[in-house]
Amino acid sequence: MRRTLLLVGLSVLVTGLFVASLMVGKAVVPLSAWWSDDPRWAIIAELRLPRAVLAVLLGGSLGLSGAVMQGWLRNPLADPGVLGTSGAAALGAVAAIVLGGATQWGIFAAAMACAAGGLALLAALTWRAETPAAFVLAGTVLAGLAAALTAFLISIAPDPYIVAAAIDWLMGALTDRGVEDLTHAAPFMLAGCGVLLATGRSLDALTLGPDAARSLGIGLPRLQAQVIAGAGLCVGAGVAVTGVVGFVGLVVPHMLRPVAGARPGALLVPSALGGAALVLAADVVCRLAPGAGEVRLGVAMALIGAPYFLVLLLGERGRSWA
Amino acid sequence: MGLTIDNLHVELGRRAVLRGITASLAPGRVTAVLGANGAGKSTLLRACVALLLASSGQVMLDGRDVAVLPPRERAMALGYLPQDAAVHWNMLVRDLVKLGRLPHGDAGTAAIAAALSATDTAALADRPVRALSGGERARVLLARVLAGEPRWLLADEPLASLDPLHQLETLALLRAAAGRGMGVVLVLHDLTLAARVADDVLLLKDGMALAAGPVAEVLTEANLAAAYGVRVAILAQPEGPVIVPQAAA
Repeated sequence: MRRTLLLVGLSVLVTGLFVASLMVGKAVVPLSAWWSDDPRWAIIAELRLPRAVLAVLLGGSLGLSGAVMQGWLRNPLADPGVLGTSGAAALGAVAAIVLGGATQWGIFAAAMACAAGGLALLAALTWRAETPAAFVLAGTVLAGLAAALTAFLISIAPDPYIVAAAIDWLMGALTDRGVEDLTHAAPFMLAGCGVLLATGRSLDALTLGPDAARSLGIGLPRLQAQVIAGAGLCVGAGVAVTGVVGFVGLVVPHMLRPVAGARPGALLVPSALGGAALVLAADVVCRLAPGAGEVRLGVAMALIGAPYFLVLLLGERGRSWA
Repeated sequence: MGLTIDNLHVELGRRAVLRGITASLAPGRVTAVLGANGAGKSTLLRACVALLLASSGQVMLDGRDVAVLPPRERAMALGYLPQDAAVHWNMLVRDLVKLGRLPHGDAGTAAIAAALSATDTAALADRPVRALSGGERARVLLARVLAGEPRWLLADEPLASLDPLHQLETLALLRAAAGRGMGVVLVLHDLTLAARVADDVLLLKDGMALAAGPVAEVLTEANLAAAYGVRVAILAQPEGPVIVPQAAA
């Protein structure tokens, strides 16, 4: 009953924020304009609708990835970034901006290619690993390598405009993302979410540790492959179209665990909905920044996430987070 | 038929931990696996549920090699309670016990209620695991295995965190389960409790079976001195023998 209420509540929240995302911006478009010949309808249909759908997919896939990563690593501080995929995808995108033509499709393809390369490297580094710690270490190596190469590429950029474009892209944003971005990323994100949603029972069993999980018939190599492929698709596609948006996968499962319960499988759908709500809300706030420009979504998420964790840290001193 | 261990060798890294163990465990009986630290007791249990692969030999369940049984079928037949079982998330007791039904893929409401009742944990069902004492937690973890209604229960030191009353109650529960036909295999350290609960004993030393058979035949002063390196006194009491370590052998 409590779970049903939570899911209904989160669905209503996402729906409300989705509608708000269509209405709110530098120009407010009231509901009455939606069913009339108001020319502002174009703002909704061509600009805000794909952006809002992308926000739902991005937030949902990051929230879900975070819940799965925390369940898999049995660590409440894990987030999708620990696999190094977001860093690898960011490297690809920056490479396309600095070295290539920086077309929308070019950036997306380069980011996805690097994300896939990062996953292949991760799999090669850990194919005989028996503990999740090996993945965290390999992911940290991958993320560090990707960050160093990204910085190197920016340092050799031929002119300051390209440097600015790369840094701007790295900050993560939904600004000016359209139908084309959505159609590029959505299939990968949806496929990743589908894979991750199937991990619930295995993650529940893993609560008892790897031995007990295996004795319950759970295939841990298969789970590992599901987590890496699913989170890799979600995060890679997300970074490929929006840049690096952090904290969603880390914060959302934390926020929902006290309500949804600590069972990892019970957190998956609520975290997807919660992630969608958080990104929609943050994107709306980004648009309301004073002046002509917008606050970058990645910056806004960090500004929300860091204080949240500070409050959590102060409130939970001496207590277990799990 | 039953659980048959046939010339089982297991290596961890390059170290031979089990070296040619052969034993036949019967359903409906309680078998205590005893031996000094490092004798290979936990490794034997892990190999019996195919968590470790044999370097040679095999473990057969009703004539079929457990290593090649479909994981779900194996999980339904063999319930395993690890030593120092961790619970990584602060789940509700009811949700934790429900995990025992995972191989069955059903709600198993009656089995869960029976497991909670048998382990005297029904009153804890709606409490988070981390609010439990060590003993309560040990009983909840046992309930998780019982909820799966396995044909065999293999428990690695299930009495470790329990007070004397709950030790006796748990042993009575395991005896009752064996009385209903379940095969019960327990790794124990307390020789007196082992002598009272077990029908059979498998005594290990350095990865080999030093002795196997009915309690009275295996738990002798000579065997225990050989297995543990201590001289013991076996005192006859109305409730069963009391085994007291005396001095290094």
